Amino acid sequence: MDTFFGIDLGTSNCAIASAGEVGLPDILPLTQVVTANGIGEKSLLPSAIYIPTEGEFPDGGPPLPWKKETQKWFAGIFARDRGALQPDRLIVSAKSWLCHPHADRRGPILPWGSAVVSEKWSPLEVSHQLLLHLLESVKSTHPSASLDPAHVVITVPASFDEAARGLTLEAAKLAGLGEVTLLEEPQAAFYAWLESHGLEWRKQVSDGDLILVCDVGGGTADFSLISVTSQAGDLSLERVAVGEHLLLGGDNMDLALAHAISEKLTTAGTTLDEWQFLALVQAVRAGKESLLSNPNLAEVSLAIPSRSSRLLAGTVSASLTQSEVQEIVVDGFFPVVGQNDMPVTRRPGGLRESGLPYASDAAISKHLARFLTRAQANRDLSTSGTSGTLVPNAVLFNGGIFNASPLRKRVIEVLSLWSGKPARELAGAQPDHAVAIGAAVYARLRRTGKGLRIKSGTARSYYIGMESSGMAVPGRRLATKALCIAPQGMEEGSQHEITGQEFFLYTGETSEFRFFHSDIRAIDLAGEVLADASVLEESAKLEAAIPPPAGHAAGEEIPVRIESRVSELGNLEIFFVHPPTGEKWKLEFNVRMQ
Amino acid sequence: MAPCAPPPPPPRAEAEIVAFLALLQEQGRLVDFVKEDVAGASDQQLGVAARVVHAGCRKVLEEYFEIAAIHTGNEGDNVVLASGYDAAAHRLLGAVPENPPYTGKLLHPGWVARSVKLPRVTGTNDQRPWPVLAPAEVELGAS
Repeated sequence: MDTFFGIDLGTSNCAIASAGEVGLPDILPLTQVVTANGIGEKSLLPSAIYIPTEGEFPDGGPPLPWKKETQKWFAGIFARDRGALQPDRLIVSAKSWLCHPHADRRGPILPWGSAVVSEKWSPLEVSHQLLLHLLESVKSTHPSASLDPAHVVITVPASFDEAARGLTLEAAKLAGLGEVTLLEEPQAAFYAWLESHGLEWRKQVSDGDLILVCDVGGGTADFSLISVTSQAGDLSLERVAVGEHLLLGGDNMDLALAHAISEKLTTAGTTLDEWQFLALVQAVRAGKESLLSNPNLAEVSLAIPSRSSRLLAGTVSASLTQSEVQEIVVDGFFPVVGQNDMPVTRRPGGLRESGLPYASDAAISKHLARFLTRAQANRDLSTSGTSGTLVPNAVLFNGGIFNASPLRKRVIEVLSLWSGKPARELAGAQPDHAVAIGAAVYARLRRTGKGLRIKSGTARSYYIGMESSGMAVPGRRLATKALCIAPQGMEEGSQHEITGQEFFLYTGETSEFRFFHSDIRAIDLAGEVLADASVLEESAKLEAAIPPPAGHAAGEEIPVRIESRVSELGNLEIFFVHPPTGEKWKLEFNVRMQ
Repeated sequence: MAPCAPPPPPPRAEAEIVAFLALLQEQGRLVDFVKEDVAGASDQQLGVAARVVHAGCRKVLEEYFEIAAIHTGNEGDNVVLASGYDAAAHRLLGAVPENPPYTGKLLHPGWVARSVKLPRVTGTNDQRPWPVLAPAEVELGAS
């Protein structure tokens, strides 16, 4: 019997699900170091790496069953917990670095800003090692499992561009998985919902529905729109829009509450140290969950211990009220705003500290407004004469914060306000493990062909930067032009050849290539040249030396044609072809030339 | 000359218990709480500290055990125990005749562990037969 695997390589936590030929997938236990002296199995592996000092574990610490040499680092629960007390030795949110266009994603940059770690990690290496950990754990608990890459699906945020997708695929190869398939996380959540409802799902969804998948995790928010249409009586699904990468999630809510309580305590004369603040974040998280799940609860008491053994003298008492949670979490993160109320996208200061580009505006509803506005602008470009605002009428929630019904209700309320018609929630979502489960369902679906697939082409159009051939004018820099090499909506197995014009490539010397993308330019076709690339988002920059083809000297300019195709696995591939010799170079986004 | 007796194996069961106590200390500060002298403490102080212990120990129990009540009924309900009842799961109080059936009032519904998934203890040896309960903490750059 075949087994299929779905891997949720999450920003905060990883999970893996396995599915047989029929039935609902199971979440597999993940072996990990859980304390300084213990190993155990958990359904989630926190995406955290802790790098101890050389002398911290003379014997290497708790040995994982598959590790042969001494461990120099830990992943998972112990890593997260120990690292919280030594933040300079902890790597978290590496996945957000993987899609950071201005970071060296293959360079040793993590833990970011750490001056104490001698050997730093690259974002790619973190993904590689987390994947390896997941696979080794599955092999050790299920020795008979065969991890055929054709049966494995790894999820990525819908907002991941091709560069970040390419790096995820590379991490899978480094981990020994081979050529796997990627699936967008919101789609995975949707597949999990479909599978858990069997044929009943058709009772909740009908022709003309526009479904928002609203996925808010610990540190990220990810939106997608799925449209439902009926063709000859059969419902079909299409993913019609994906959002931008948004570093905003449940952890921000806990931090916002903790800061509010901390200020309240300071006003009352008690100042918390940084360790008490960590304890406070834990306490407000639990308090927030109690208050959100029980609206009749007026307040909860919080106890914040110090690190001293003297618990009685050292514990600070505070309270968190229902109105604080309403004001800070419900109204702060999900305010009732108008459909044209856009998020503040830039802080007023001109200088920003380097680091992850966290969202400046905490209002998730404003980010949602921006997402829908952009999706609508994009739709209006591709379909002439379509009118009406694009507002979803149904929502599938994903992510732990949506266990709290007041937050689900608020999103529904805002959408209903925008469309003037009541929106509804797709019932029966399982916000915690849906992504891994949906990925396993999709892995099975791809092999067996049984089940409904969400139609989804490339969500963005892709461009390569081109030097203009204009005359040099002193004092005036020529704008970088952008050549569209892959339009939106390319589906698996499709390809484009950019004909009718030739491009020149410098060979033998290191040249710089810049890549761009856009999720709001449905109108651009392959081969189209934009006069100024600054209307696009930059995804990656690559320096590479293309070896000259046979019979040509280094330093020569050679004419090339550009081909783009989406492989059967759904990966976008770009080639430079030199027609006279037939030589072909595969160009991987931000990856080296081959 | 008689060969030396091999050293006794490390006391596994004790190591497991110490590791569990270390978990309750790490998450719920149980050892700190019990080791403190509470004679002069006010109920207010004690209550605040008890929240820390309660939240942390509860987390440990929820994470590593599946605990269920033996009787699902309410305390005060009448309970009949027929012959062949699970004697180990019941404690009879009062005047108890030689043989069932027994009829009585439920004072405490009882608890039973349905599953236990404690971490496997590693790193113990002759020099340190069981894990450290709570490491001493030293903050750098703060003195």
